[in-house]
This record gives sequence, structure tokens and C-alpha cells, in this order.
Amino acid sequence: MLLLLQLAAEVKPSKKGALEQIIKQAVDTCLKKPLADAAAANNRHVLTALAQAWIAYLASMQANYQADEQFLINAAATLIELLATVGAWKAIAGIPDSGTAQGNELAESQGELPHAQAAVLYILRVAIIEQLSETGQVP
Amino acid sequence: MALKLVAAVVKALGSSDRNLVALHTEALKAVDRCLRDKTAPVSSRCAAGAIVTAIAEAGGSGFWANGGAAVEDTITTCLSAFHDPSPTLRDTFASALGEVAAASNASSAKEMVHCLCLCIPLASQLFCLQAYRVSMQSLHHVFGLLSCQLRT
Repeated sequence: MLLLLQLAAEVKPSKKGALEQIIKQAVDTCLKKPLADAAAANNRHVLTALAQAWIAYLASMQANYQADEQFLINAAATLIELLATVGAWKAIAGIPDSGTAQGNELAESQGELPHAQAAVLYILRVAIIEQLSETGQVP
Repeated sequence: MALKLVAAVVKALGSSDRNLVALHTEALKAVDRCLRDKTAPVSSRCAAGAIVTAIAEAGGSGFWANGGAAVEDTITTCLSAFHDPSPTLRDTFASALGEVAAASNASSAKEMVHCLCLCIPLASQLFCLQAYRVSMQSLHHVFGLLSCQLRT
């Protein structure tokens, strides 16, 4: 009986902890990690879809959960940071160019990710800057 | 067509119905069945995406039951739908994924965690009560035996 009690007490905290983890990391698992993966793979379709998912997330947070300007600015910072990290990793990994000329600054090995950059720019433009007030838009 | 009906029902019930969790779980099962069927037309798979969006918009209580098993599956489904050739399907699941991410801030999520907090002391109390009942039953039995012996 005591053993059962102890077992039950052990199981419940770990379940609660697991659920809390899932909830806290929901945004990460849903949106950030797939964006990083898709940016690294330079997969245009997945990046477009994820851009729309981000826009839906930001719009829903504003409409239903009263996200304020600070939240939007943080989201913008997260996106840019994500892009910078993935780009830096790619540059370090030194992906070989596919037949482009030497010294080409727009090549992948220099850390440029055209599809990912376009996706992030789209999210920033549509979901964030539009929604910010004058004071938010100026900087 | 039936899937659109399911989405409408989920939306209509909002976020404060007692049977919400059961409804969401059933709806998610229907979504899984539909998506596993590769020969289904695009419109029905789009409707499945719309159901996920509706559940998430209504607070996503079905996601957090059973320790969040459903939400992980749903996220995996949405992400795999992004590799689909049809653009409409990608759009629908994109909005679904966005809503699911936002649903993590819903009050139902916090309530679920609270419920698990409460379960520990409740479980321990139930165990104590059961032990009490068993001991009372055994005492009763012993008294019965004693009273029999005393009478004889």
C-alpha cells in the first residue's frame, strides 16, 4: 500500500513536469525549430508555409491573448536571431557552391539564405510592422 | 463535408463545455484517420486542417489531456503536411500550426497543469481512505468472529 502510494507520488510530478515542458516549449517545437530546419534545408514550400504559420500565430496572440507591442518586438528579434544563427552555421559548415563564381557574395557559403530571408522579411513586414504603432515603426 | 460539420461543431462549443475534451479527442481521431487515407481528395484534407484550427482557436483543451500526447501528434501532422504538393493544404495547415502555438497560452493549458498538481494529494487521500476501509472491514470481521466465540 505504501509502495503504491510512493509510486503514485512519483508518477504524478513527472507527468505534470512533462506536460508543463510541452506547453512551455510548444512555441519552440511548433514554429522555431521547424523554421530553423527549413532554413537550413532551403526548402521553399516549407518556408512559405511556416511564414504563414508564424503570421497566424502572431495574429492569434494579438486577437485572443492580448499580446502587446513588446511581444511583437520580441518575436521580431527572435526571428532575426534565428536567421542569423542558421546563416552563421551554414557559413561555418562551408557548403560548397554549385558552380557559382568565386567571391560571389550571395552564395550560400557566405551565410546567405535567400528563401529563409524572404520568409522572415515577409513575416516581419506583414505581421509585425503593420501592427506596431507609429512609435514602434520608426526605429 | 462531414469534416466541415465537425469543425463547425468544435467552433460552436467554444471553450467552456464539460464534454469539450472528449469532443476534441474524437475530432483529432477523425483528423488522423482522414489524413492517413492517401486517396482522400484535397478538400477533405483541408477540412481536417480546419478542424485542427477550430480546436486550437477554442482553447485546445483536447490537446493537453493525457499529458499532452495529442498536441505532439498534431504538430507532427501539421509539419508533415507542409511537404505536400498541394498549396491549399499547406496554407490550411500553416494557419492550424500557428493557432496551436498560440493555444499554448490558453487558460485550459494552465488548468490542466493545475489538475495534475491537485491529483497528488487527492490520490494520497484516496489511498488513505481505502486503507481505512480495509482496516475497518477486517476489524468488523474480527469482531464478528469474537462475538461468535463469545456466544458459544
